[in-house]
Amino acid sequence: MAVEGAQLVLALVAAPILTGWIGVCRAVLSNRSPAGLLQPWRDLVRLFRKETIIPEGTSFLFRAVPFLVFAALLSCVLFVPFLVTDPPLAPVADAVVLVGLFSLARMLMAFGAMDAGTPFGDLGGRREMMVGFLAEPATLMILFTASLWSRSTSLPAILHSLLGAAAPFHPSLLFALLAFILILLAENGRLPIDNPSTHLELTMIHEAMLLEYSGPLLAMMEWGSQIKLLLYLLIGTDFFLPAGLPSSLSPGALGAGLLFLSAKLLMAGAGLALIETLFAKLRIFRVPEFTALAYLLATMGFLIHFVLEV
Amino acid sequence: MEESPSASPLPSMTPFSDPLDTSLFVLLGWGIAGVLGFFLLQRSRILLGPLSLLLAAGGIILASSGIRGLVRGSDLRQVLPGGLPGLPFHVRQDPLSSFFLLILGGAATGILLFSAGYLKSLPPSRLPAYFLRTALFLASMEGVFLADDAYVFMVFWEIMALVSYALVVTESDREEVRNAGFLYLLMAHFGSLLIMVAFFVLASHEPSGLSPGLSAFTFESMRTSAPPTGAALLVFICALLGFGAKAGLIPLHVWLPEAHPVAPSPASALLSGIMLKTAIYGILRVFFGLLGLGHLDYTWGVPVLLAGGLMALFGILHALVQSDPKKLLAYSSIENIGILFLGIGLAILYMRSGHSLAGEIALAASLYHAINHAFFKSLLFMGAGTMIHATGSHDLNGMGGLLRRMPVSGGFVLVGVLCIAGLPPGNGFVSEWLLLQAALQAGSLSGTLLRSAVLLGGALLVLASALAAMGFVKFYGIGYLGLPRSEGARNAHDVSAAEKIGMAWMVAGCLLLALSPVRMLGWIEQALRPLTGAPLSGSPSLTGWLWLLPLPPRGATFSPVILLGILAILLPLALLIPRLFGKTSRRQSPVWGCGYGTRTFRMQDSAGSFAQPIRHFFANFFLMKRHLPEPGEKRPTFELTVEDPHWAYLYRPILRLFQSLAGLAEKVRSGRISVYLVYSFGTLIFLLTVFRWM
Repeated sequence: MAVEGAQLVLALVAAPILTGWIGVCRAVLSNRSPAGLLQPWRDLVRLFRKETIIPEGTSFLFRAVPFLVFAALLSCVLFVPFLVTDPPLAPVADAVVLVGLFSLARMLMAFGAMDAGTPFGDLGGRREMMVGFLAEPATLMILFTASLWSRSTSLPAILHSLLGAAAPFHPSLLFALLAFILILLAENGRLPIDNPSTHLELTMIHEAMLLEYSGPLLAMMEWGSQIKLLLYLLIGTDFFLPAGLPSSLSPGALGAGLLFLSAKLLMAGAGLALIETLFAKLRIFRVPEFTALAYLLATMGFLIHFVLEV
Repeated sequence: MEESPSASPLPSMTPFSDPLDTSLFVLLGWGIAGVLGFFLLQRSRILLGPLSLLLAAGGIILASSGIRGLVRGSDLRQVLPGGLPGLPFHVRQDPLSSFFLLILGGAATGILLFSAGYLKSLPPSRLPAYFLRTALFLASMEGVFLADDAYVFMVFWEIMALVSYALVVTESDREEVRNAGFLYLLMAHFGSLLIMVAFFVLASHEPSGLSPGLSAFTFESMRTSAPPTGAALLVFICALLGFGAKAGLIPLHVWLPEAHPVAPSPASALLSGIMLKTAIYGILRVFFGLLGLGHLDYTWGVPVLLAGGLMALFGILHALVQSDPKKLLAYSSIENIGILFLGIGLAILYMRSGHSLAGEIALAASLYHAINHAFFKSLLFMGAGTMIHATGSHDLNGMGGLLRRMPVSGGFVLVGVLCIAGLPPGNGFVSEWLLLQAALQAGSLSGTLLRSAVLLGGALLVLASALAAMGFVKFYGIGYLGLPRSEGARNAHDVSAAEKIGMAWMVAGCLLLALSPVRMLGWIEQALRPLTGAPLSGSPSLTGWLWLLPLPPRGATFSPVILLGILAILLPLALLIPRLFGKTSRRQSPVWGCGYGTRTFRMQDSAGSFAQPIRHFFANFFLMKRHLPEPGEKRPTFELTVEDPHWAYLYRPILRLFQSLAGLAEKVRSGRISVYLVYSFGTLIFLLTVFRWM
């Protein structure tokens, strides 16, 4: 129980801070003065204290969705190894189930958006589902490639095979990593697919779905999205940068592991901010090209495995 | 396990002691109840409830017979008097039949309970005939599953086709209904013809002397047949296309989205949820039972696999652009049958190239998806029926806001939607997860082409299931959420108790299938063992009832029960979080309308606009005619029609060919008797000449 509790608490606390870190990096890169690491936390607390405004004509689903989405995303925290290589609940769900849970959260979010019955809600729901179906085949190919060494989609199994592999560097994984970065941007509503800081009607995707949410309901949705981003980065470090993850529960190993993890996340967050600063938003109908590229890269990684590595 | 020789065991005296007797009892009972109901309902329609319950009881008994057959792994045969000289009726309930009987009984029960409430709206004059057809339809499907010779099989297959045709044309006063029915009948007969060819080829290759004459048509002697590769390929193709015509295999699918939606909703549920599975049963029976795994080649799996993947993609893309909810569901059936084909193709490919474990998982996933689909698709067709009843509209654009007005049935449909979209922890996810696990073993195959085919199949599966999520967001979002789009939707009311019970039965089925996959896989393993010869090496029973571990020892694991438990713990925790920050007030307010005060239902997405990105990205899959208004037009109009390209590029050319041939034949007909006399005289001379030289 201790490990599960620690995983939950750590993810709940760290997810807004990670988003804050990305914000800080983006501000520094674009010559603005940063709002600080804790800004997302301040926003959340403020939202939780505000009153809830329920749009007229909505059903119970509208009010249930933020909590369902939050629970679905939070449950993923238990299955991803980031404190230790073998979290006790990891066998409950493999990587495919994680993709399924993300997809569940997305579908519920679209329902919540459409229940408000506004043009923006429908627009956001439609576009979010669109990005989803474009990104999922590529996500699967990345899983295929990452699981080639372990022949299993279980995250600890993949981790162990990568940690214990004879060759320290796999060319196939390099391609999978590139594809993974593209998918991470698309799935988490980051530039160049979506702009998390825009509320311009014509371009927003994720924000359009949240438009009618307010107060604590909005806070749950925002927090959920921050956890999702954290999860993606954690899965990324598991697949492509697993070094330093402790396999034992001794305090020393755990402490070192946490240091390693924070360093990796800070690096990944800074990288993400750099990408977001360098690129402009894509036209929505060019998103398929973007995800097709991710699919292609992952497939190449898969084929390279058989040409070069076995 | 009982292994009975070809001679039938003595029929036991107590009808409920052995599964086959029970099943035959239900078959007979359904037939009698149908005829009885036909006459009783003409007098009074009050009896509809009790009579539907009677049929539903038959469904429960049949499902239990199926379960008993699976638990015992029994293989029971009987030879009944009657039939052709030298070919009495052979019936048999082996585990595969038991599994499909479970699907039939389980899903039919819910549908029948539902129809007890739903059919009250059917015109009284139609009710008796409809009831008779439903009962006969159920009985004939059961007959197909029990048949053990080609004659019995074809008799029940044809009864099934005819009765289901009659169900489709229940509302025959509408022209589109008659057209759809005719198309269906045509395709059904095309399919039957090919199936018969497959049986003839199999019968002609049984070891000579073993079963002379008509007895070569028993499935028992077909199993011993040893066709050469060419003949085996012919059987393979004929069975694939013949059963494929019933299952909606592209390009033989055009009847399905026409015929399924025009039937009354419970009949649509029977057609889509259960009847499509008879085709899958037929394919499994012929491929793995009669032809035998040994006569299949692994390369034959590739076309089945890719056809399945393309079917899945094509079906769901067309589902997405429909605005009739039942048509959307019918196209989604094509997607789901595509997934089944994908699994069968993977199974052939893996098993015949020496990876039997992966192959068995693929086949088991296919069967799992078959039973899943029976439950959630029936549930959704019932839901579509209640939507249409409540709003009086057949168009999603006339619905909306129904969840507020129909919370119970709307909640049930939400479960069905989440399950069919293949999301955890639903039952659809379990089967798709298993199929993906099988596809992920592509690395163990040799040859880049094979690997790529499997990978492509896996990617198509994922793409189709992600598109399905979007399609059902459309189905539910436009139909049940948002503002009502018509007066009918505004005044909608929830459904009757009987309808709720029927839908609740299906929801319970979906939940059971989602939460006890290990038990279910154990049964499926029983059903497959006689066909594939080996038990699933990673026998799920080894891992306890909690864990799915298809590929031991290091393979991926999944536990739907624990996952649901975790979600059930985290959800209340999530509900508590806002309380930590103190109590806040809550009020209702109008939505934000960009500063404008008015808000009408027309500001929402229509069914067409929701699918606009799909039409844009996958333009090649559709045949679109679009009329956009010119700038400055006084009365601007916008029109868009989306059509299945198979009509324009395949069926209409065939139709034109036949019409021109008929036109040529017409030239012969002059209407003058003297000319006709010349024709008969000429024919006579010709025949005499032929016989002179023979």
